[in-house]
Amino acid sequence: MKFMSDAVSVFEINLLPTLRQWYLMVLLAAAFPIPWFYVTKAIAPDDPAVVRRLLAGTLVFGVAMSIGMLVGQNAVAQRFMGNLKLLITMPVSKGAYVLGTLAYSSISGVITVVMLLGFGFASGVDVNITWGLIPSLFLTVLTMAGLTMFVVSFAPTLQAGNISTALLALVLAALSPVYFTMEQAPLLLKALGYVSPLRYAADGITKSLSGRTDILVELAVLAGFALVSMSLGLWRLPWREE
Amino acid sequence: MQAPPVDVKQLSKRYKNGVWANREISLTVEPGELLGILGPNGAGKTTLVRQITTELIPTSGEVRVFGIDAVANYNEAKGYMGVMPQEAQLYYGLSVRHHLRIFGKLRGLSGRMAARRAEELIADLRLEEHRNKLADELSGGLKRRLLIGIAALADPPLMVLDEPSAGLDPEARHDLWDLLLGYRRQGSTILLTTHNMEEAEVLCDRVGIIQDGRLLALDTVDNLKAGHGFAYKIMFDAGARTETLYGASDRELVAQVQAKGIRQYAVARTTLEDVYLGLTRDKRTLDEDGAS
Repeated sequence: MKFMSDAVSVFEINLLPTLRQWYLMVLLAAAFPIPWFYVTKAIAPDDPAVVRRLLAGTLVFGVAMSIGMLVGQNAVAQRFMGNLKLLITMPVSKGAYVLGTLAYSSISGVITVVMLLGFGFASGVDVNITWGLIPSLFLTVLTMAGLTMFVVSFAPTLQAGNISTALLALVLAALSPVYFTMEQAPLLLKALGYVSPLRYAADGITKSLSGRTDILVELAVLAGFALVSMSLGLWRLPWREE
Repeated sequence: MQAPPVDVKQLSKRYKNGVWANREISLTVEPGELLGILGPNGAGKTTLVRQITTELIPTSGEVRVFGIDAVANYNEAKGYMGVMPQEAQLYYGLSVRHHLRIFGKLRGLSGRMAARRAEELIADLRLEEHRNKLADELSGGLKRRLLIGIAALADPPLMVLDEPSAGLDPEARHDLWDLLLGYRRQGSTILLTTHNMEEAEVLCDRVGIIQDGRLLALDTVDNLKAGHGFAYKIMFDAGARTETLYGASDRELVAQVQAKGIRQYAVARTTLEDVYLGLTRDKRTLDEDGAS
């Protein structure tokens, strides 16, 4: 009971300052993904399957970027600016802190998904959404959050932490076959694709946008990535100093 | 018999860079007392406090808070403490009221209780006209008041404050002292660190003097002065510099200085600063002084 209450309190701590400038959060969530999808759709072949893949890729890229940056920059800012010290003195568990932070960061991901799907519908993309979309996105969020927490825990300064959060999602998405299938990927990207969670996310989301439900393999792999990355992220989160 | 609020035994801390920040420190904080840990920057005060508040894991030794092992059961121990860390920052996008309400909930109060307690503290801390201000709009003194308020949420039996008045102007510092003395009168046990001699002398029932990670002394101010033979000091010019010598009796000091032909001198009671300097530097009495 206290665990959930603490997670809600951490969520509040992050949300209340943002509400004062809520429009910035909406702008950040949509500013990159929508124009990016618009351009790629414009230059892509007029093939519904290709366009769905582009939409899936943009969803993955957008969610990865927003979660990565919000979770990472939040963690870095709180660590280097002393806010985390105040929380650590409270009888609050690390898990509750992470859950609350993740819930807050997910708002941006939700805004990205809703606006992108809306734009997709409005621009005539042929989608047939199945149940697999939500677990695919959820597991992508968990994976990116865990990876981000793990990477930024090594940051020696605030600036290094902010740069690494931006780079992580960018590099991971750029080097993963999210906008095209593994069959279409060049050799290097194909090799990286086997170990990239974002590739499985893009595959699962593409299938979920195409009316398909045979995504258990993608979900299983994503769940594995999420479990490992969240474990690593939680382990490295600075809570008590050795 | 109730366990003491803080019981530290042979506590040592060695950081990864090899520095021993605390060495075999043992102390007990008694119920209802205000105990100060006095020392210069880098002496190990914050390291000691961070181990007591469970933020830092000791290298060796034991820390108990009301009998609870603060290393093994840190979350349970934290439930008994209200803490004001040295470098803690408020959340700049949250108002005074939000800080107190949300941290009240983190302290285990229900939503309604947390809101009520927030209003009580806003009145106690004289923050009524600032209740809706964001933390970054507050002055340094008001921020400190709010941080103490956060530490006082849920009426903890133990408050641990690391340099609570650092950086404050004299008026704000005195306001803070009044607050702390008020909490003590209400029955809270308070452990604080400071490098301000006046603060330690005014506030503390007992003072622990720490240097280079070691606890050099722990006693009341009067006992510290008496126990180290430093009840009085005499100052006189010796050539180009002012000499200060210590002794147990003012009459004896005057007699001895006069016997050496020194006519211009000033006698005063030793302060805590004198005790501190005497413990941490080579002290000299008139008998040991080779100068005339």
